[in-house]
Amino acid sequence: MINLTKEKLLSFLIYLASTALGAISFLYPFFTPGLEQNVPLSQVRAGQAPLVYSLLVALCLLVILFEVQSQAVDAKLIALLGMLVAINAALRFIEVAIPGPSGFSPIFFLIILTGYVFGGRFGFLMGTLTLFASALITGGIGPWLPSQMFTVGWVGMSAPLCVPIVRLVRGEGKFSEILVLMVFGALWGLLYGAIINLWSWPYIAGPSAHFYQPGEGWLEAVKHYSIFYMVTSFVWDLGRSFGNVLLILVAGSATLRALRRFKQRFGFSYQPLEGQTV
Amino acid sequence: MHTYSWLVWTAAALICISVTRNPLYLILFLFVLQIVYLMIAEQGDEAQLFVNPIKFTLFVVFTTAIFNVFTNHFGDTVLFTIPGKIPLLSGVVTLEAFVYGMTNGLILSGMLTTFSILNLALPMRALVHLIPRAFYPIAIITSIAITFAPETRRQLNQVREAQAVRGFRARSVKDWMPLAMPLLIGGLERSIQVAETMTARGFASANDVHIPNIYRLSILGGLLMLIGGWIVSVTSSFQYLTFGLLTLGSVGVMIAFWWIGKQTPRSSYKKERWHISDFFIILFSLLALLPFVWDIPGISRETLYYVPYPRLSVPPFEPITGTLTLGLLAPAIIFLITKTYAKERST
Repeated sequence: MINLTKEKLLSFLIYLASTALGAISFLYPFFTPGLEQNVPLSQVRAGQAPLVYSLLVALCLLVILFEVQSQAVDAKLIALLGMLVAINAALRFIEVAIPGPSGFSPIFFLIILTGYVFGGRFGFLMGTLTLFASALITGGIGPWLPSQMFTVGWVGMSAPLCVPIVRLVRGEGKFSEILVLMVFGALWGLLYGAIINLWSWPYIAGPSAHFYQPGEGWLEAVKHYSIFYMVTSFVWDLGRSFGNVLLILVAGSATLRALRRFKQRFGFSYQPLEGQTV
Repeated sequence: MHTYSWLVWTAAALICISVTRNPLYLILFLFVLQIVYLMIAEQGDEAQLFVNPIKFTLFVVFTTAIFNVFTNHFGDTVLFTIPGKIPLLSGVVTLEAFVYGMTNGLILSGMLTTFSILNLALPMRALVHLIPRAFYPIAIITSIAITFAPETRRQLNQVREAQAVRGFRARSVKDWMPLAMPLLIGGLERSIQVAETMTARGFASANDVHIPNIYRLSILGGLLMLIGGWIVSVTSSFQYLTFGLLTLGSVGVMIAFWWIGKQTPRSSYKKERWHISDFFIILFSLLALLPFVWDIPGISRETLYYVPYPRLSVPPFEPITGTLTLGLLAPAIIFLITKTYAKERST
């Protein structure tokens, strides 16, 4: 019992530390005053900071994946996750072949709903592995992949946050449940773009009010990034946000029913009879 | 060529591209990468890539240059002026901003081309095989997903054809429901079959595999050191302490994964073999990397850093660095030699 509590505590601390480090790695462009103030602009851009933080994101992703994968320990869950990832990867394949309007992507829909129904750890795996499998299929492996996997993983991991809200409004099985998920999908549609752009922002640099300027205070950096985001990505991300809302509105209810039905069907385990071994 | 030699080559190319902002070196890199790409594309499945790196390079370099020109109003060489008070756009358009934007595009294109080559050079199974042993459930899920993804696409076509025979035509988003739901439910049904097959074939549950807390403590310790390294880097200028903490933290986490991975046996149907060509690829990749990460007497590292602002000047160029960069051509040269040798043998 004590061991179990210790393991849970350890697991919680690892989650906490890796999520904090992941967030730091994404947000580092806002916190680079100390070291780089006196370095010429060219050398900072050419410096190792973006590379180092990309590696840190990859490392955090590995740690969280390691902790989360303990969820998928039996054949049923592995097969279920594999098939759901296959469906989502196929959707992404179609999206890459026939790009949708603006930043619209069909993959978020299933990640949000599986995270909501099966839990945060399952949602995290669903998000990260969808991107990984589809990158393998479409030849999309690149330095951006860990950041994308991490962010999409967060989408799935945070989906269960809708559960208490749905309970609060007593909306299970009602339209208000879909409404909560729609708002969640809309928020992540914008947030995903805002987080992902942080990866490329230090690379797309220049001496202007909306570019990365190492050495400036974090408030200034946030201001510059906000302008950069509004100019370059906001409209694009609105497309993704709108797409998420539309898909959840149209297919959310039916998909939730199907996922819940299969969750029940998968909710059994093989137990050896007394006195027998397997 | 061995997977690991490709990884060393990729890492070397990526580090070189990330370290420099000199457009002359970047153009040289892209030239080298395009040659390797064209060579590898001959043997790889080019259709696997959705973006042709050559077209992508032209598009990205042009787009980032134009973007920078119209949003960055710095530099002495004014081409023309956008009048009025249009936010971000109004102001002088300079040649320096064009060159700076182009440099950004060259870096992004270089990274994408490097990974395109890796994607072409390595088969999918080699990439899945790279997943560390500690992550074997992830590897299994990925294997299932990449095995069934083409099947899912086929199933979608079947459902679409079946619905079309019934006179169904998708006109709005709502009309996609009769296509999407059978696909989802079909996939979920198939997952039950896959799970039963796995159990029947003796897929062992990982419930019994206990990971000692010492390994997880090592992971936690590593993470805390990494966070400490970040805090030191932000709050002080102790660069060596930052470097030490980041290195120790990363090593702590990696060692824990290695230990855990050792508990999971892995069998290989066909083991990869090292060839003499792999040795040359690794050697020349490291040689190309050397002037970009190390201060070598007689080779100026200053040439790596170049800013076109405030007035455009000719970027400096170090011939030795340029020559060593050509070491990244090793895979293309080895491919050419192998091809010529194979042709001679066949005749």
